[in-house]
Amino acid sequence: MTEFLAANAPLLRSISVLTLLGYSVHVALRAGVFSFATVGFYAVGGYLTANLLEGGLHRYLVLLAVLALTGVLAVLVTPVLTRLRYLYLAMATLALTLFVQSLAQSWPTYTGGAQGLFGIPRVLLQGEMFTLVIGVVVLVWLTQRSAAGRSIAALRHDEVLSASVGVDVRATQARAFVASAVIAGTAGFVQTSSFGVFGPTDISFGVVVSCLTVLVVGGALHWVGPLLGGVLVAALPVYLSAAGSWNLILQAVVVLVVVVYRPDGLAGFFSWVWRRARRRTPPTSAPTPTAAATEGATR
Amino acid sequence: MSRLELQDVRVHFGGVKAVDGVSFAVEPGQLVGMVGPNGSGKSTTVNAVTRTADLTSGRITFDGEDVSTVRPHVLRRKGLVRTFQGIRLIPELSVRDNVRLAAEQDGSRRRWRVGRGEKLPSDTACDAALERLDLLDVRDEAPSALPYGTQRRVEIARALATGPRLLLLDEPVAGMNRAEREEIAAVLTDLNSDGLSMLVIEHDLRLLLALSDHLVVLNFGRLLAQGEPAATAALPEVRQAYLGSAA
Ligand SMILES: Nc1ncnc2c1ncn2[C@@H]1O[C@H](COP(=O)(O)OP(=O)(O)OP(=O)(O)O)[C@@H](O)[C@H]1O
Ligand SMILES: [Mg+2]
Repeated sequence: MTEFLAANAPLLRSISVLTLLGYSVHVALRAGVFSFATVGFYAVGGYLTANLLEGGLHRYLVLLAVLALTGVLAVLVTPVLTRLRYLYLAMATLALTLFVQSLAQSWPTYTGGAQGLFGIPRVLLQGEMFTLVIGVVVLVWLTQRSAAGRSIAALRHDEVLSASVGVDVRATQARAFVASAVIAGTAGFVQTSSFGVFGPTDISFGVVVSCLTVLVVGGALHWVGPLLGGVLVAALPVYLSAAGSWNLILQAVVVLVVVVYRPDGLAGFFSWVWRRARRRTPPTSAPTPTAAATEGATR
Repeated sequence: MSRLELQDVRVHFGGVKAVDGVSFAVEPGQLVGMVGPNGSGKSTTVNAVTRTADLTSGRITFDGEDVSTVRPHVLRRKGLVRTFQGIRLIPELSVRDNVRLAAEQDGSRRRWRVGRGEKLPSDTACDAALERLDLLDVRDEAPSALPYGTQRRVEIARALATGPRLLLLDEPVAGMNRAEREEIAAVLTDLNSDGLSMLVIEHDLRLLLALSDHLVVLNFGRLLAQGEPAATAALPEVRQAYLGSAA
């Protein structure tokens, strides 16, 4: 076990980072906000971690600083975002990421400019990394089963109805956006403090595409989707590397197959298999709660 | 003081004068019926009250407080709740969670303090509403699995679970069969005799005459007549505008 963990450290790191990025997009999307800002907040988290670790700050304090800064920045931009809708909202979040990207280029003292920052102390323990990822998964799961989760589901489907039963649509979306930003910041912290490098390639357009791939492949609106997507998207290049230059094309094919045949992603596929398996096995004693009920509670 | 009062309310969409100078009131404990031909501005009037549509001009007060410019979600905590003309259930939530969603938005933070095994006040309200509309048997179903009439009952239960002081119902029995209509009518009579104030939009004039204390008739966005239900329905201009075209 320990050997496996050590030998696969790079893969496990990229699974963790992609999973966190996936949850960042997921949390906003569930509240009806299609956010590209994830990569922007990922950059803020990554660069801040690099600078503070270089300065000798303890990693726990660094994480707190990252959570605080990304949280505050998100709160500052929400008044603008919650007034926008649909495509305009998505464009505004993309603009935010572009802004951070260009800031990173023009502020080399703190970002290392085009080279990025390297040689940063790799202080994050693997166990801590897993704790962060599992913590986020559990929090997302708990939230979706709570009152907040029901409000979020409602406002994504029907804002007018939600408001009529008392959901503060703007405040709920704002909270989801802040949560999304904080998770993205955490991803930046994990990447930098375990890999020791953070630079422009970490926040390039390719990373935006990776986030969306994680989401689509895993199941964009299912709580376990980003985790499944993170694992697959991180592992695929490793196991497909035998295919050499066909690697990227094969990845694209996998994504297309999912989008066409399982728009609800791996999570949708697995819950379909699960429901079928349960229907096949006859009830042993008292009738179990219907599939619809469990689905309603967990989705 | 009236529970709800509309003073010269206008809602214009560009050139369309959907509501054009409507004034009436709902007194505490009253059930006010609203009728009018298709497109006469009934739903838009309710939309104006619940801030789903913006007022072009006029004033709306709820228990004496001006609510013409508040944000829509605030009204629910004040006790003003509506249903919509179309079914608007959240597909990924079970029947119970659809109703619970509304019951929960009471602004209480007590969730954290309730002891183990103790029921939350919002869950009590939710289950009471489910029971009142005879939905306990289907509470774990997905809304889409239910017949149309049952879905409409869920809509009413959801509004009721908020513990309203004024309920606005936009065609609550539309698309229901005779027996289902009678059931809902009985529930509304019950609620009303418990003291709940209501505004009910309905095309079924017979049903509305049996229920209401006061009748409001709209035509082309304007108030055609209002008053004692039977007498108002019998007015020649009402018969011509509404009954004449419908019956
Ligand atoms: N958002 C809107 N934009 C433009 N016009 C609208 C809008 N909402 C309603 N209208 C128009 O306002 C008028 C009144 O519509 P409303 O829905 O209030 O009628 P109604 O009395 O409820 O009719 P029905 O009995 O068919 O439900 C109609 O002509 C309608 O087309
Ligand atoms: Mg209408």
